[in-house]
Amino acid sequence: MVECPECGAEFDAGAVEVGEIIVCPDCGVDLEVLTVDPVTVGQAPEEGEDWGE
Amino acid sequence: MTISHFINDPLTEDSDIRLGVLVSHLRMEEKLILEAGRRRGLAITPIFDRKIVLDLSNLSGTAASSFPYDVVLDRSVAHSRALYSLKSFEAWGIPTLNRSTATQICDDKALCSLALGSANVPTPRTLLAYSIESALEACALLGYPAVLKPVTGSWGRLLAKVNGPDQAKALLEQKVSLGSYQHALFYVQEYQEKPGRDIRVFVVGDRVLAASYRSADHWITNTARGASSSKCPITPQIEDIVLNACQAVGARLAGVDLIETYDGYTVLEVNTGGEFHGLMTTTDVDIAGEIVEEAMRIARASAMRRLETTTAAGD
Repeated sequence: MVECPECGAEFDAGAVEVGEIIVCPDCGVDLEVLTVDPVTVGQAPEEGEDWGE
Repeated sequence: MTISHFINDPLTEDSDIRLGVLVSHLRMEEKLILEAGRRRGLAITPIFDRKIVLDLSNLSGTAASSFPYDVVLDRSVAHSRALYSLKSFEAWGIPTLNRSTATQICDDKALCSLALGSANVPTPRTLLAYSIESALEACALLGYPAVLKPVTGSWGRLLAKVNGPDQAKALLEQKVSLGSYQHALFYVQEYQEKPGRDIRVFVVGDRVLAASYRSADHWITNTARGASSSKCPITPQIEDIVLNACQAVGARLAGVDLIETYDGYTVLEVNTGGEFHGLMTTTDVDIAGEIVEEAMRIARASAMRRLETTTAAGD
């Protein structure tokens, strides 16, 4: 189980990779996967002005 | 892995190929690319842009050895990081899928418009102005409504359709107040009616892989803004204009956005970091797999050139 650093909700992140962005199912905040064994997450980086595709 | 491996291996086995994928974080597209590489047995590694240090004063193999890749694919969402990284990789002799020049052009709407216009690729009439007064003049020249876009950025952010001079002036003043100099580069484009949709076309190498309509009630038809995707047939006209657009900017991998106008297709932009999550829902083409295959071709071609150079030097 993963704990959301924003709202404290615990949820199953499933099969994820380091660097992947996931969404907290409770509060909807974007989270970045920091480690996978065990899975830990932090708040996703803020979108920069020059970000895009 | 040694430098001699880097120089002399012809990369005959897939497992010999070391593919680095420059990323800011992993989106669906990057996960699929990593999976496609692993399925083929490649040594494929994400390179997180915020973790790297680029030695700009060292152009020898020592700097390159910190990045032991036969080819690098740029999938960073941060345009500035992508540009400097690609420039560095090129300086160190590491091949990349899109060259830095293509990324530099496509990540700057003004440069992209210039490149498309210079190659006679149909694109909306666009004016660039540096002051509020001249930007208002540009809007008047194009006629209202006009579209204001930031020269950098993506995903439909900060796009505005202005319907008259009062609205335009208020918006331009707001843009200036945002502070950074890019917001005072006023990219003004004619507004073109479209049939509630645009077209995203994905190109890898010199092939058009797939196309999808992106439909929305809003005038911005970007999947990042909630547009829905449906299959679009690839016609010879689409193929021609899209490949010409890619050639104009030097892109080997791109998501090209088109609109249908009364005069035919018009290119809105070419995205070297093109997303394809929407497109994927409308096609059976394995886009991630095709990207990896292209990376493998580039790695092998580059390795072969190095080998020939080394052999010739030894003759």
